[in-house]
Amino acid sequence: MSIGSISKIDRRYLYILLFIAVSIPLLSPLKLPIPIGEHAKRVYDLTESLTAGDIVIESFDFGPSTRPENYPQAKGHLFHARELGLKVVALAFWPSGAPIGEEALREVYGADFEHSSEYGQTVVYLGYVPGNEVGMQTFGDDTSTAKGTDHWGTSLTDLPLMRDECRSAEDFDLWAEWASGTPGEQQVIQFVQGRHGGPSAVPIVVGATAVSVSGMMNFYTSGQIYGILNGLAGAGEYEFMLNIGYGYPYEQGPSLDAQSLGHVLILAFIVLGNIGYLLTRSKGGKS
Amino acid sequence: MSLVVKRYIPLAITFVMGIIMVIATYFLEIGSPARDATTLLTGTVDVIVATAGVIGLIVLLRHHGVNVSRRGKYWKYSTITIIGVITYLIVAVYGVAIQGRYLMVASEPVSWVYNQLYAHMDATIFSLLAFFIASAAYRAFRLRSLEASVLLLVGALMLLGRAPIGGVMWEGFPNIATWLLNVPNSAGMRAITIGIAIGAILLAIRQLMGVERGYLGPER
Amino acid sequence: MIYGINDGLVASFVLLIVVVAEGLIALYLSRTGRAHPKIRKIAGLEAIEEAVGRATEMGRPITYTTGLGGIRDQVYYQTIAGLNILGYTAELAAKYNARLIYFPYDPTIIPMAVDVMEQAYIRAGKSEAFNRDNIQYLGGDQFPWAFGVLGAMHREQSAANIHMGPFWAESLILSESGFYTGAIQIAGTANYHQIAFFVVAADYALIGEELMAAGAYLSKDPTSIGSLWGSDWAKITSIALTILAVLLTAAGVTALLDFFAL
Repeated sequence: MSIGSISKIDRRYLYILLFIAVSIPLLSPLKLPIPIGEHAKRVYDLTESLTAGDIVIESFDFGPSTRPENYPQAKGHLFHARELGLKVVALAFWPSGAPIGEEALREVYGADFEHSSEYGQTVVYLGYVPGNEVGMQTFGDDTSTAKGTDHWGTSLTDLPLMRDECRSAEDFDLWAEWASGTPGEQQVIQFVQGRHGGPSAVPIVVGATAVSVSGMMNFYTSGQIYGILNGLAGAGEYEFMLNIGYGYPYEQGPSLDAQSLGHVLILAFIVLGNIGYLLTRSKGGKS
Repeated sequence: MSLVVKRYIPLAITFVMGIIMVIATYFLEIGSPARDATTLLTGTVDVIVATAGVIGLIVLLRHHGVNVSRRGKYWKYSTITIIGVITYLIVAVYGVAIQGRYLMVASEPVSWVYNQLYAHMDATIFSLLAFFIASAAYRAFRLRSLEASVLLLVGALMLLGRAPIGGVMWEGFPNIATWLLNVPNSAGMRAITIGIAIGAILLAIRQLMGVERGYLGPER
Repeated sequence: MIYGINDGLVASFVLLIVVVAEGLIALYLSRTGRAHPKIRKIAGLEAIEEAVGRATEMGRPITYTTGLGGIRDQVYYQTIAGLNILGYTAELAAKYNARLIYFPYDPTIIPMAVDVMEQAYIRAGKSEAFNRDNIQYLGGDQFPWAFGVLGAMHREQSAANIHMGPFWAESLILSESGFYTGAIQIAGTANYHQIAFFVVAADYALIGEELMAAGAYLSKDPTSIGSLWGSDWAKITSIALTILAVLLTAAGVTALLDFFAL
């Protein structure tokens, strides 16, 4: 193996190594401690500051591809909302988010929650709301115009929470956006928050895939987004805080261990590639 | 088709609709009949898009159908595509038939196909990104220049700062990652976002004025 | 409502008027010949001709995509920009007798793409060479579409892959896999979360508004170039407002910030 070949390893070897590195912690967790970041802490603190009866909008705007990152974020926050006695109106502006939202609600509120006594009083699931950003705007202007029925076809006039309390963005106390693309948090800022009084009137917390968080930081630093759950790590941080506060099961540990090893391996690849590159360059060769 | 129909009428429609939407957004009160009318107008676009979905289906079936009939390259894969499309269409129509219009998204047959097939395939394909990122990072993060070196250093700090192992190695890594996100990244993203917004506004102005009309089709 | 404008949109409207006014003034000055603004070279757009030439020499096709956008979503302007560049690329491909395959994502784009490419072939004097089968619709879902394009790139052994428009997670899949086919890759998007992937994995990348400038850059039309010049004025205005806001806030004067909150 020549020096130059260190910088030209067949990518299939890299893929195999990465597969092994990610698999090991899933089978035998490393139990790495998780530091709680500022962004996740703000989501937790803001939710904690709400009082029982406040209305939270939970928007499931992601698909199965980003489920490993978004689902634990959304489910943890739903649990938190329920524990605090908040009233939850859940919906999805992505068709693929609708079945996922239903699943999360069943896990938190019970398998048959749509037939329970609390349904319609403290929790409502609207399912898929069509129209993308126009749907968001309409929902913020008048919730019953955006969609006249819930996910199972029940008229909103038969659901006290939607009929009497949650009629427009003026009634929202928090919007929790679980996003992985468009429509997502930017559209909520533009079409809901911006039109109904700004961050103080419609505070937004976001759970997003790690790749898209960098692009929303300017909204975070300007206060339009109050807090962010940053990918899988953010989900783990939130679960950890819920575990301490409410005994919620902390399930992201093995996944975060796998992520940690994956990151270290990629770093090792980069170092290896650069060693080969620099050695080749110093010998006057082409890389 | 005359130039008036192919060019001037679409340009006029574009201009009028653009002005209407600007007026509606800024001047028409939410809930007013005029505002509701413009909302209805944008809703008609959904009708056009739904019709376009049929066009897409026809184009897809035609392309693969021709390939199969001529036994062209990879015609067996074209056969699988056609079978998949028709099967799912039948499942969707069956779901509507047995559960009614409002429940089309939640109908059991469609949900079954979605949860048992599509969701897993989608997640599998997305998971391939991790491997592509690894090979892209290995290939591209080289110390070729000052800018590339800065890119490499910041990338390494983010890799360590955003995973728990970084905090185990040194408690400063997560704080550095947070600072990088909050300050330099935020500044750069703000600049890019403003630039894109300005570019989008002026592209729209060029379209409304009929200066940018490459998308309109042949002039003769 | 404030001054007849809906709540929360006053500052937005004023800034819109300022940006539009600057764009129109610059456009007028350029169009009437009173000014001759120049655009700096955009390497990615200059490389398109090189890419088409390469495809001709190698006898392999060019694959072209305009990302995941349609005409009714928020990122439609990127799709329009991508179609403008498609027209330019198609004309070059027609001139040099290279095969150009386009993969639309949204079915609403198909009729527009057919018109754009047909017009390009007519401009190149090769209308008989235009083949509608080179516009291949692969389905309207993100990853099925992306992997369909990927499969086509590998099967056709394309010499050049050009991706111009709104992209999401599939950006790295397309550009990284395209690299291993040995093709030259030119990509551009205004989706900030994908710019980094194209910069890293593609040979040439257009960042943000460079994509929107493409129509003006490629046509060399003074009117369009003038509006680009206007966008520079708007950026200078943004910078000036930012500096002014910082100075005023430091001095304890919040009038400007209060205005932006309207």
